[in-house]
Amino acid sequence: MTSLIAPRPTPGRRDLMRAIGTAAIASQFLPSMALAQSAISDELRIATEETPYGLDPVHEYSAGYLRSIGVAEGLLRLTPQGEVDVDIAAWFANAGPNAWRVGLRPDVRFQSGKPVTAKEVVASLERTRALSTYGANLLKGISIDAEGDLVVRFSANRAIPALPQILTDEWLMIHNVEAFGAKDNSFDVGAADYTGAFKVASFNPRVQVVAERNPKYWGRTPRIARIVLNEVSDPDARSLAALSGEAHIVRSITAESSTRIQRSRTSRLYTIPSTDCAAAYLNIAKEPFNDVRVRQALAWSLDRDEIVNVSYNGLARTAPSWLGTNVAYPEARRVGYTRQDLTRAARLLDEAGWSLASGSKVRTRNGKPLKFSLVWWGGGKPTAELMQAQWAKAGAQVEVLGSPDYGLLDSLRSAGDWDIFVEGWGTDGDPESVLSRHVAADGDLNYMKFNDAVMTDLLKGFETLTDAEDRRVQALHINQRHADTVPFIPISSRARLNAVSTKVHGYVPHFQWWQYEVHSDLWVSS
Amino acid sequence: MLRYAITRLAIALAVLLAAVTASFLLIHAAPSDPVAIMFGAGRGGSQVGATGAQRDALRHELGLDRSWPEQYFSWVARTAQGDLGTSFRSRRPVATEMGNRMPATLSLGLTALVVQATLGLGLGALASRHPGGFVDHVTSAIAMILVSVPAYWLGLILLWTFAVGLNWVDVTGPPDPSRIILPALTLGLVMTPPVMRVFRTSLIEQQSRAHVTVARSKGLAEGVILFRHIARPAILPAITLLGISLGEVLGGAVIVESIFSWPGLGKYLLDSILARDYPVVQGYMLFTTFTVVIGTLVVDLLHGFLDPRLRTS
Repeated sequence: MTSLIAPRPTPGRRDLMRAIGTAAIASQFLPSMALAQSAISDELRIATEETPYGLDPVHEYSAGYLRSIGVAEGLLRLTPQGEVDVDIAAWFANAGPNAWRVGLRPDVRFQSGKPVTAKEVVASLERTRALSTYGANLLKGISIDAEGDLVVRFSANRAIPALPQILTDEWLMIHNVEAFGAKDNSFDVGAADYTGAFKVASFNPRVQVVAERNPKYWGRTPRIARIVLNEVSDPDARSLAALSGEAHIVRSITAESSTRIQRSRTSRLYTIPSTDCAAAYLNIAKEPFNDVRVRQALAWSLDRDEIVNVSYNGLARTAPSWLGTNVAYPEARRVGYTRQDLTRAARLLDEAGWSLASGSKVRTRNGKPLKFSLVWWGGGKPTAELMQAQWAKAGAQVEVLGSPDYGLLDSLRSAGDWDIFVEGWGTDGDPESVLSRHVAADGDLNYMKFNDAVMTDLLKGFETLTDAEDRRVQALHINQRHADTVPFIPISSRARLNAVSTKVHGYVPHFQWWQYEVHSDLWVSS
Repeated sequence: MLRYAITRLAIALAVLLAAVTASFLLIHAAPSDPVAIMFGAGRGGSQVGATGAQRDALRHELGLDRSWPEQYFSWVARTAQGDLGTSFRSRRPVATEMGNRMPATLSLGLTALVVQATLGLGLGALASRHPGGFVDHVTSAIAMILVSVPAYWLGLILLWTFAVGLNWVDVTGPPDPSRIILPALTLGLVMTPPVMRVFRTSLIEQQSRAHVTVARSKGLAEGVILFRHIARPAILPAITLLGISLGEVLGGAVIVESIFSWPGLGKYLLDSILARDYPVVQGYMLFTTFTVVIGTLVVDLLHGFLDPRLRTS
């Protein structure tokens, strides 16, 4: 195969720099360091904010990265449109309300050449269940059995309508249990035996993963021979990696850098349709948030378009309601807080007893000002400051505090010493699981201690629904109830921006970053 | 000399013990629960979360459910044996992970020190030749600019120029020798001004000393006077600064390694701080203290060797 990447324009100067560098460190001890690589190769280079911690799918912060570069595969996958599709499976079918059958392709092999049969799939999923917290929770109460060589049966004592969606999860990658062994085996390149089109060739944790074309791949042979995944944690450096043309795909470009990428002749900017929903979580156990009218007023007071334009350079989606950022729920964009309405907000606050005295900018009730704090973390400061300004227009005095680190928010929340904080969570996946986490009385993300009888009944309604469309409609009912009760205020999706070289062909943006960024039809032109 | 060395060594050991204690207390005084961080902060997918029992089990596994004194004595005992604990995130021994990243940081740090020493001593010597002259003014201006420029900004400008503009170097990848130039230059340049100014002042001061006048009156060659009677005593304060720079190198590496994606200890620390990976942060603090203490000890001993008055005082 001929080279797909042109040689760098100034190899002479590169060699000079390399020579100077080599001389500078010649007297030092660098036996372990790799020397210069070839400047010409048919490789795809990806720069990302983080690379895997390990090569074992049971190791936290690993499987998604391996799947994203075509090393690992699951039984099923989600298409960019949000539909469940087969991956290494040939078909999947409902076998009654409490069971599913998944048929395997007869030609699928691990990278070592070992055929993938139902027995191997069962062993792989059972190993994940045993060694991974998330794997165990995903497969909780589900029995997995082999039916002959090519069919796997999933059954439970309850309805499991969401099983296909569960099987698309990044934690459930099919791997060769014999090769990995009984314990977490994250750092042995030789043991990393998956089914993907690329096989791990070298691994330096949190630095680099190199994967090479798998000659025994069961599917179509990929056009790229080699993938290099480099960790570039600094966002500015990632932008430079895109602008220099050094990396073909650069993940997570900042909104500030997006203009430069858009102007660049060498890269295209992709706005990935994230299903995440950034929201303002309200401490509804405290005044004034224990009054639903105040919560609704604050939700109406937000100008989400301004937040998206200022915080994300217009490259995110507003969330008028909780599911409004998810492509699977287009109806949710017409529900909830579809625009800023300060008049309605004022009326609601008046009704709640928070009145605005003449000449005053802050509403009061019984002499007490409408005053609260707003905590941000990560890159959320611009959004928090905008919200502060927008709520000021409604007569609220907001103190903004936060830190790029999660620790401050975490400690305030642990102590119960908070009013509002901003955080984003995904809305994709099985709606029952996703929604319950936030609004079920015992949900692990129900920081607000929200406990609503109507909501509880709506969540319970999932138990009898096995049809996907029925469950989707049920999720929309919950979304409506959420908009009415406002335990947290949806704001917008969190924009995910990728810079992709104009030399890259066949790039398909996906709302789940780890779903097949690299696939057989992706190639790099010279 | 032996007594002097033993005294210095005892002080170094006391400082190390204090550092072990301080690093433990500081880290444990920080807010937040690492287990919550490991299972939270937007990670772990949207479909499932960890249960309370799973969190408690992990807390127990990591020893976080034990009392502070228990954790402290366990930490000191393990540290004395070279065991810095296990990273919360990677689940690997911290010492192993630090060992893997050490060569990258040491090569960067030593190259930066070479840049600092060469530029600092060279420009300092140049400036001292004609105090108040054109060269002195130019070097002063250079020192002023370098001391005012943040390493982060300088690093990005260098990257922009050489990686994007000229395409001479790579932004990403393993620690290739061609990639060490820019981070070493960034780190070396921002540390150069103090050495430059101190060496300049020291040289000017030595030139007017009586022993130099005596040496000249005795008819010694100018080269001998310069190197033996002026430069040798003048270099002592600069050496002290270079020794202290070891700590600056490790501190500066945190930012510089992150900008240049240089996979050394500094970047490892920054990632670990953001992830609340306590054992790594503790291990790094200890390593930094150890390095600075050893650096200072070597400088002290070198001083004692170069200046006999220190040994006897």
